[in-house]
Amino acid sequence: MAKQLPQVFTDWFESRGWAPHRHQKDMLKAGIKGEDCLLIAPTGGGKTLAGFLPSLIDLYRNPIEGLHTLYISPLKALTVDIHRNLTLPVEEMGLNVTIETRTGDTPSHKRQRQRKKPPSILLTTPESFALLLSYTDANKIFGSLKCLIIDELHALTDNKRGDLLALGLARLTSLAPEVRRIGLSATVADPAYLQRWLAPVAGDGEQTTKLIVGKPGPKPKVSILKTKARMPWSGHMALHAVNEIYELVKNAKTAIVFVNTRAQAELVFQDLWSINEDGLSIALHHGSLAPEQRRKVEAAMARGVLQAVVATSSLDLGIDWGNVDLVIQVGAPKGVSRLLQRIGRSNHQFDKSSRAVLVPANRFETLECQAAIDGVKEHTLDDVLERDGGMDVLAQHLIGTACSEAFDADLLYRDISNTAAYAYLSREDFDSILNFVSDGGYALRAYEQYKRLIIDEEGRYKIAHQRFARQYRMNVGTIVEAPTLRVKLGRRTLGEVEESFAQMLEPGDTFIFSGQLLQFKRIREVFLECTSGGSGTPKIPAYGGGRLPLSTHLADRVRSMLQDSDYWRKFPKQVRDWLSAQMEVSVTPNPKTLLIESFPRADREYLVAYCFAGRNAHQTLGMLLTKRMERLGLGPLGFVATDYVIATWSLRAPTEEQLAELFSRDMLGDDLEDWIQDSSLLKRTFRNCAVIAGLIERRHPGEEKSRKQVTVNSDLIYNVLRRHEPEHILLRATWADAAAGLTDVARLSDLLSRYDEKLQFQRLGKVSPMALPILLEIGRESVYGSAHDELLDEGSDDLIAEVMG
Amino acid sequence: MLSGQHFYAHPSGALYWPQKQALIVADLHLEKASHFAAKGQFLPPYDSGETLNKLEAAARFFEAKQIFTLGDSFHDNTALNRMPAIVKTQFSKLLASYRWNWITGNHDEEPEQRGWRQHSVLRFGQVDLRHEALVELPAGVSEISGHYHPKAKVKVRGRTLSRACFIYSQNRLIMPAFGSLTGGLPVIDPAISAFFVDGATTLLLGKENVHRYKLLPSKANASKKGSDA
Repeated sequence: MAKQLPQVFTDWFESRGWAPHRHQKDMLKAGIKGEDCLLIAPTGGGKTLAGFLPSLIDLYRNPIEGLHTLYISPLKALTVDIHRNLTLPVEEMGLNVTIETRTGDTPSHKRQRQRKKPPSILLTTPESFALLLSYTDANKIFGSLKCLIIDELHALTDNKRGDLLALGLARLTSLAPEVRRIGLSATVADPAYLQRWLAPVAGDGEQTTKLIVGKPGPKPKVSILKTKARMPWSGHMALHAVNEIYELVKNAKTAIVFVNTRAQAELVFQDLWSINEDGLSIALHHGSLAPEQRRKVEAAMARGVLQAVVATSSLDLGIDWGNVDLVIQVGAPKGVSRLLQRIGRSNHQFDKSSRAVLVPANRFETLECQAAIDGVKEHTLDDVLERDGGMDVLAQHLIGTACSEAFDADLLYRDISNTAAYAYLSREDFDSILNFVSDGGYALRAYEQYKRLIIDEEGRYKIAHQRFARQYRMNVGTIVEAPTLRVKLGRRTLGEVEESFAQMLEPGDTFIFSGQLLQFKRIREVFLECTSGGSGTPKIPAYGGGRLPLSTHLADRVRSMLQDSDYWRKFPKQVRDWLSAQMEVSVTPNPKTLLIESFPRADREYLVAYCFAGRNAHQTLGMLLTKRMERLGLGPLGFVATDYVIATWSLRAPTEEQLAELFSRDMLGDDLEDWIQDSSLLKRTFRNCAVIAGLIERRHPGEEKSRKQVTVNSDLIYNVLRRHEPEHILLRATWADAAAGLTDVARLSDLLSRYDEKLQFQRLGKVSPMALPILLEIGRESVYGSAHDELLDEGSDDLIAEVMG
Repeated sequence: MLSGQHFYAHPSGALYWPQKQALIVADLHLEKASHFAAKGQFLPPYDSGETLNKLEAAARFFEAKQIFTLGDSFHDNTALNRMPAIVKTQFSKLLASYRWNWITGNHDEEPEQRGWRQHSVLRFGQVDLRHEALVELPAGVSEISGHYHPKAKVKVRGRTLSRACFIYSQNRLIMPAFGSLTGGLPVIDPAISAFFVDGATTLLLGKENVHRYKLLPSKANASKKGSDA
């Protein structure tokens, strides 16, 4: 150890009364050997310091000019936090090391200076990294680079920001082949994937990234809130338990109340304040609030002056607050890994266990909460989703690379297909994307004269005009939000709501945002202007996407619990009674068969299937089922899906034989493609792909007026493209996205093959206790039925049809 | 019915005027995609062909003899030069098959040599055809115009559907954009609703039919279906 750690470092550790953790020493050894490594350690384990220590020592022993270490994190806020935490030891040890952040918030003069004279350590985000790589001096900036640290790696490998980063890493292999890569991650089920993701596997297929695992902290203490209130049958808000949540908050030093959606955050916050007789300082934090607002709350948390903060996943990652001693999860946790991440926000001292209370919003969620607690206890984590890198992101990267330097397509393809994310990519597809980037890649070669990439004398691709480089830099990144309006109260900007919500409001309507009751005045340009107060039932802004589906692992646990009536003792009495009542009229779901109930109700025939495959897969299933029911002449009228079950209603009930036909596994073949291609979901996905791939420009401040054009046009482009070039690379990218995400086709297909010919059919005289919750969701959730045009027709025969906008 | 004349709205977004055997279309925005392509955004180069196919089908459906275009027929002044050869051929055939009457829009004010005359307004009896609606119409005159690309949102059984639409009242009709890559402006936007302070009827374009919804005068974004058919 003494050899590894210079005296000044040893002194510093001693002055703090610390001794380096074992994983910190392991990281040092790996650093000296120059190994790529993945560090997996619980929060509070000195993970960040472990990541930077080898760099600090190297800089102390072998000072160099220029950039030595690049740190990339998914959160801007985290770069600021790390900057603070790292500056302290550097100053205390008197090291000659400069540390700077570079994000979208960094002023342009500072950014320019950073390119000329980079700091020793630069803290940045995937987007800013991509931008740096697009400059013509990228080889100079990164030429001196020795070490790359990626924080919260697990939060990047399953999404497009991660794709962008993976492509950036591929580019580094040619700009700075010697760079050592370090990944920092929370505990995951399958570290091997993260290892592969971080650094390409060697030619002989051997894993080159060393895995270092920190000592796990003490087991967290997690319980389910034993509510005295009557638990609702359906809904996700859990407002029945607000009094009890308040008591928990009151008795904690500082609590984080995690919820699943922004709308839920607003409601819970509002209700907590309405009973806040003790004047507790309770704050609100979610992704749509203005950044200044969020920073204020974060700062107050850091100072320890808040009693509680109601937060969405906006606080899932990163920042360390030592004083949080309780995490309350309101609503179902959806996955064990996510729950652990949230629980980890409490007690950042390594040696103390975290404390968490789960508050289920309905009976099904109680089952899910219990399953999650078992998962936490046994430390069985959700699978890491391996994803094929997006072709739209690759298109963006190709332009970015051409902005920086002329590239050889063969070499670029080699580096890119060496990454785990793009290992799937065929040369043919790569070339299609290259063509798309060059001139749109259409069969009708109409745009030869407008090429963005041209080929130089050496056969390399380079950018045709500098204005395309500017265009690229204005549009970099993979986060495409739905159009939003800024909520203005007087001069203050409170945050953003989706435009579709704003369009629903009429002057005088009230809504809740940023924890306040507001009255809508008008929309002006990009602002939604409002005043305080007002009366009437307030609306709550909803936000697209956002809701995570139930993880496969949790779903399996719920199924097993349900068949084991001995286990039910763990449930609250209300839930036990519910399950017993179910047993009297029907059966409970189990892992071996797929339970389907059918019963008549109010002149309709209902079918309820207990699939537990998550909302997205269920919605796809619902569509396919109703199509088949139509063909069988059952007269389907609609369906509704939750994370747990799917219900359809129709004029006639299927016979048992028809049922087997309805659920047979060949279902995915016939109607799926037609439906998906026509769904608004695919159009939205297409829009995202089109923006990322550079087909449509992002909106920029000052050009906000054209915002409507963007949304509309992407649908039109989609339709035109589908009719003329259904095999176009951008449509294929869209299709791949939709299949993996919102339709969850893979999961549905697993479900259907698993239960092929294993249906358990229960014909009942009336609704069963377990089917009741889903019936109550009808009207609350979107109901799907006839095709759009039939709906239009139906509406115009209706006496209360209305034009909304 | 405007100024005693009957018109038929077609789900393609065209309007047919039987008395004149004329098909009226607005805002074709031909070669919009290639306009974007010149700036480095390669929109699918099929928009002009699609628009012309649609136009041809609608003209054939009504057995029209002439075609009136209400301006913004081309996305910009040099659009015709960019038109792919195959589309140009199709366009020439259409030009030869019908009598065309062109109105100038704000996108095609200074056209390249096209070999035809453009008008700022065409008056047929009591009916004016122009690109952008007049704020004050002369007494007794009706008007058919384009420019605004109206669209409407309706809520049916809890689902919101948005479609391009015709919008009209007693003496005024605004046409939907006919071009295949043209977006829209909601009819409740003051830019459009200001023309219809006493309410209006909208005809939403469906796949096979147009669908009638009323826009009420008092509340711009809520209305009831009228009993007139």
